[in-house]
Order: sequence, then C-alpha cells, then structure tokens
Amino acid sequence: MKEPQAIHWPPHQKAFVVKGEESRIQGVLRLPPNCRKLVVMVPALTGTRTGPQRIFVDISHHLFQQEIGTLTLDLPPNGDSYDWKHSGVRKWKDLEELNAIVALYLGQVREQLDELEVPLIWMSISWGCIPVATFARENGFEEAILLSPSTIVGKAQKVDASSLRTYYLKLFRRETWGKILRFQIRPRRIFYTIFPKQRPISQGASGSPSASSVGHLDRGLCLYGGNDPEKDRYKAYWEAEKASGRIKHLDEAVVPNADHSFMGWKWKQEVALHVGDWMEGKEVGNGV
Amino acid sequence: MEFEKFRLEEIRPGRWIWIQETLPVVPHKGNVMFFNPLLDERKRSAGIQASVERALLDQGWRIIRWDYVGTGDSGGTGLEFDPEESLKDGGVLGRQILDKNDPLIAFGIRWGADFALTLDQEYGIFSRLVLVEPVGNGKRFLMGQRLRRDAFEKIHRIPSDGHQMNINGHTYEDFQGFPLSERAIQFIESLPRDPGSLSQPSSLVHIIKLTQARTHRAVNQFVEFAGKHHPVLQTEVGGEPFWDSLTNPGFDETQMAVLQAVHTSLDPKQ
Repeated sequence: MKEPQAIHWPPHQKAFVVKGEESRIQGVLRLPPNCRKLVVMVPALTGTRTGPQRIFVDISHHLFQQEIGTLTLDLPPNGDSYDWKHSGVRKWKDLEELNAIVALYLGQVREQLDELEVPLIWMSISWGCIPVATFARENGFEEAILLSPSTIVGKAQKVDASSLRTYYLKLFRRETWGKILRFQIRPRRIFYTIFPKQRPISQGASGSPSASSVGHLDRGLCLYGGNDPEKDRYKAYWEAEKASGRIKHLDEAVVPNADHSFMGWKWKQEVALHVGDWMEGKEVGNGV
Repeated sequence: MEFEKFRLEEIRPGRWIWIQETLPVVPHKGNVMFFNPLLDERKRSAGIQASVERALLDQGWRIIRWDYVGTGDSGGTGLEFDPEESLKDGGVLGRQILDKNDPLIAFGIRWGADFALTLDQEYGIFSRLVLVEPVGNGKRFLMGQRLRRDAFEKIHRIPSDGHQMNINGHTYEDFQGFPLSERAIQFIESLPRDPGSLSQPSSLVHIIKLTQARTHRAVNQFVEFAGKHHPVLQTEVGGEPFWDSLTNPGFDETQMAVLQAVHTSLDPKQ
C-alpha cells in the first residue's frame, strides 16, 4: 500500500464560514494550486468536520496530491457550527424534514462556493449519505461519494437490536461483572441505548428508495466496510436507487474486514485510495 | 477590527498548527488557551469546547484553540503526532499569546488537562488552569483505550491481525484509526511527570469533576499529584462522561453544568 505523504498546505488551507441570519456554518477549505475539482465532505448527523477517526482529513491529504480540493464541514449543531433558531441535524421527525434541514445548510454552502468556479462533488458518511445524495441529485450535481451509506430503518424501532446484542455479549465478560460488583454500571444510559428515545422514521417500506424523483446523479461511489453487519441492506437500497434511474452509474467497493466507520489506520488509507482512484475515473469495484 | 483569526501557522520550523483565535466584542478580560483530548475523545468533546468558547467570548475572553500536529485540522498525517514536540509547540504558542496580552488561562478536557498541566510545569505560562476530568494516569488511560478497542472488535466480530504496524521503519500501535508511535506512547504513559522543583510561581489548578463519570480514582490521583506543586480547587457538577458517547441522554445537562462551572471559575469576583 502507498504510504501517506505529509502535506503542508499554507497558504492553501483556510477557514470557511457561512454566516446566515439564523445559523453559522464553519468548515476548513483546502485548495491545492490548479485545483481541478472540489469535494465537499459532510459528516454524519452527530459527526464533526474531521470525520470519524479523522478520515476526512486523511482523504483530503490524498486528494490534495491529485490537485483536488476539499471542504470539510461541521453541520449545526455539531462542532463549531450552530443554529440559533433550529435544532439542526440532530433532531428531526422524519426523512423529509432531515433532507430539508441538510438542503438548507448545503444550499448556503454551495452559494458561497460558486465563486471558486470548480466542479463540486458531494461526499458523506453513514447517516449523512441519504440527505447529501438527495441534495446533490435535486440540485443538478453529477457526482456523489458515499461511505458506509446507512439507510433509514423500515419502521420505528422499539428496541435497538444491535445494542441489545452488545450488552448481552458483555454479560459474558469478567470486566462487566467487576463493574457490576463495584456499582460502576450506568443503568440509565444502558436503558436509553437499548430503548432509544429518538427513532428515525422511514420514508416508506424498509430499504425502499426515497420518494423524491427530482433529478439524477450521473455517477455515484459507495464504499462499504466488509464487517458492517448492515452492509447488504444498504447495498440493496443504493442499487434500488440505481434501478430507479436516480443514479445512472454506481460503483461499489468493499474494504475487507473494516467496520461501519472504518476504524483502523489501514482501512482509512484504503478508503482514501479508492476515493482518489474513483475521482480519476479508474475502476474501483472489487466484487461487492 | 477582525474578530476571527483562523489560520494554519508554522509555529516552529516544519510544525504547522491550525489555530482558531477569536476576539471578544466586549472589553477584553484575558486569554484562554484550549487543550484537546486525544483519540476519539477529541471528536466527542468538540461540541462542549465550542459551547465553552462561545460563552467565554460573550464574557470578554479572547479564545485560542489549536490542534496538535497530526490531529484535527493541523498539518501532518496521523503518523506525525508527537506529544513531546506538541509540548514545545504549545510552549511557543503560549508565549506568543503572553507577549500580547495577559493573563493566560488554560482550559483542558481529559488528556488535554494533563497535557496543559505538564506544559505549565515546563513553561510556567498560565495564571490558572481550568481542567475538566483529567485522565490522571497515562498508562491507565491507554489501557482503557486498548480494552475498548478489543471489546469493540469482539462485539463486532472483527478479525484482528494485531495492532502493531511497521511503517517506514517505525513501529506504531493502531488505536482504532489513530496510530501512536512508540515515542508517543512513551510520552502518554509518562504522565503525570514529576517536575521536581518549579522555578515559576505556582498557578491555581481548578479541577471540574462530573458526578456520573465514575473516574473518581483517576481524578483523585491527579488532584494528589497537582496538589504537590499547585494550589488546587475542586468542583463537582452533575453530568455524564460526554467524551464516551455523543448520544448520552444527559448531554445537554452535562454541557450546561460544565459551562456554569467554567464561568464561575473565571469570574473575577471568585
């Protein structure tokens, strides 16, 4: 594997701030000399502009060498961005409302980026992918990059099955019993993890494509973690998007053994290489 | 007047750090320099840091936030994170701020708290340190991170081929996407460091503890250590370990409690 190169970018790195009447959106813009394209990186709904485990910065390092700029963003109310009037991307009642909130913020970002006069490619991870892909498609953009693109669950869940399993398995660990005996467990937190207060509400039947049929993307890239238990469900959703014509050409690749958030140094580098190759039009599929 | 000076600055030759300097619109009370936690805890603390920044700005404090090289928005890949060098960067940055205005106060969360104290003991630049839930013992902190990583891999059935990596002749340990060199691990495990006798007058250390964090042993160890060289003040507020999870039900209440405690600490009437 190619080793990452240390890049020092002044004067090519600067703050990006959109000051709206009701909100402030902050990010970091990295613009290489002769910038050919700009990838706008939008975190997941609780994430910040560096992305999980700084993956957005790692990808920026790779793309910078290819004369591709990046903008990494905090979306209100996360990181340095905030909204005086609304709750931002953390609290929403259904997918339609989430899409509208994200579109509102990204619309302001896009307006400010217009002056750069470079093609924009939209990228997100996990729960950010559906609203970001929808925004890109509905606003006439051609390409989107989707990392572990989560889909909204089919119906409101009463029990988070994955968390329930996690706590069940923890019962078989010695450390857990040590914590119980020392009264070091947090029952309230465990309860709300298994029975979440806020539950995403689906746009329709499980895994079905979004209702809006405005516009289409010419190209999309989906990268999945090989060990993401929900990978097949996500894949079915995005392939349905392709079948419906909302994404004309879809490339998909799996990072072997990686989890949902690519929480490993080597996996992050693999993701960055895939994204870099895809941006150059190279084939990245590896038999998903 | 420019109120935001966000920049990538070469603080020392080859050391590019991202600095977010923000100036208050109301009369200036002094400077607060922020210190980030490490690894995944940095991301989970970002919201509280931003809230504290905004609250202190409103009260008239000039805020300086920065990322260690190899972390956040600073230059360098993750392989380049070197806390020993970051300590020197912090010393240079702190002195730069002191050159312009005073007083200078440190605000550190978790590992950032331990780091800020170490910096003060080497450079003697702070008049007060406001520290939220210091980790206390570097070895125990890393051990906790390793347990967390191993549990995650077991629960998610991720096959592990070990966490040691050899890159360009150097050995790194991968902490779920954050590589730490042997040198970085050595530094982290060396905290708390006994500074011997301090030449500078001792700054006040104000420690903010969260009732539900279950970290009393580690924080007490930190209090005992800091108390050898500094006057120590402790405040316990209701709150959950926000660096552990972003979806804690009590996150908003914790944020408010921390804000209130920091505000009280920096109020000149105290």
